[in-house]
Amino acid sequence: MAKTKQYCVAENWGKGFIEHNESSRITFKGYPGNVWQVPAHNKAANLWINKVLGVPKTKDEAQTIVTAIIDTAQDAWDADNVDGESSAEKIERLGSKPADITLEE
Amino acid sequence: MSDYKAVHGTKVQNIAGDPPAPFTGQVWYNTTTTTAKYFFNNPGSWATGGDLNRSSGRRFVGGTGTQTAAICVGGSPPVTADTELYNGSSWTEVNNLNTARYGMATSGTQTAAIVGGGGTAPANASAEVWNGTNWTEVNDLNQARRSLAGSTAGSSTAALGFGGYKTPGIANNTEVWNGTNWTEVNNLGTARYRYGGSGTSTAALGFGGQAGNGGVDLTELWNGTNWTEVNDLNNARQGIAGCGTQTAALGFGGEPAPRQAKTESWNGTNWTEVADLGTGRYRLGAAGTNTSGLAFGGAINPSGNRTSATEEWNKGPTTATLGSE
Repeated sequence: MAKTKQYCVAENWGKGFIEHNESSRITFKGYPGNVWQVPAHNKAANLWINKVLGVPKTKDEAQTIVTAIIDTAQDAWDADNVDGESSAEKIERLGSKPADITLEE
Repeated sequence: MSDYKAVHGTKVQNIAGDPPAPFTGQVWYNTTTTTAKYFFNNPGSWATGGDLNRSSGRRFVGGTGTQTAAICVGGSPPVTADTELYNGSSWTEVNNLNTARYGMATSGTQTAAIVGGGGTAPANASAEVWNGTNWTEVNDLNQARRSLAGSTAGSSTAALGFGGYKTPGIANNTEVWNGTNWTEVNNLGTARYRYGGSGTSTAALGFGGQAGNGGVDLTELWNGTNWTEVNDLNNARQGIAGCGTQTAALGFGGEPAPRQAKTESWNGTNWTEVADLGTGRYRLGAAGTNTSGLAFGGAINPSGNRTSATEEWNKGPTTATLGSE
């Protein structure tokens, strides 16, 4: 099956990184590690990747970047404990445990 | 083949800036920014804006104002008193709050705003008014609480604070600010916190939030006297941000995943899903309107991380850069 998404790594510099004439044509999804998902086989998406000097990544390479960050955050969350604190209190203090992210093909 | 002049009757103009009233389809060359630009009818989209100054980001911030003149206050962690102003391109740090706090009710404009309540271990009742330069402490809320919602389209002299977390317990209290005092009025139908608010002190909207262990999709409408439950959000969530009025609001972000990027538009009767945020997040700040909104800061997955990213929502006639296509 042909892939419907493509990935790149690009740092969001703020104003002008994604413009309205781009996001009105293509769907952007940002992930940890400056990983961005845009449609595959799409001229506007390819032009945007060129504009932001995005480094193309395969889905597996992008997944590895995202998973490494999530794993580190999950380990840090597990290790951050306060004596006598209940599970609910921990969630209130830290937020819920970082969830796994699975990128789409 | 038709050229631009044949279609529009004029050549592409060189303008020092952008035209004050462009028409749909107009193309011009901005000699100041040296970019070709055009004007189009946008169905609704998010574009990136300038980042908040704290590069590590902050969550539970308060926000109000417009897309090109917004104010961002407080937030955590650590709990901060920082105040920043947005000019449509970048944020500038200005004078701090007197009391650092997060998760407060905010109302007003970039030059005249009020914040009330918020978290400072565990919650406080204090309120402060912004005059465009400094924050001044004013009379307290009657009920100390954090993560309450505010009438973001209200003013520094007429605002509403509702719901929140009052340690322990979830609040359904509603209080009206008249420029001098907070007065308790009729309660929300459903007590909740970490939710979105829009509108004014006499015509407000509260939506989403956390009512127990998880997020809810409830929407309630304030008519100046009572709250009435109206049609639900399409996606139940907490940590959602809101802007706009009681009849034209925008709700975006929230948790749990994958709700973090969802944006919904309220037309006075129903919520409709529109384009997602580029960076999904929750417990973020908001300013602006249903057609010209602003999202800033917030928490991102992995939870505990914060973002300093800003995004600008535009719907309807919009200026865009031709060279970026």
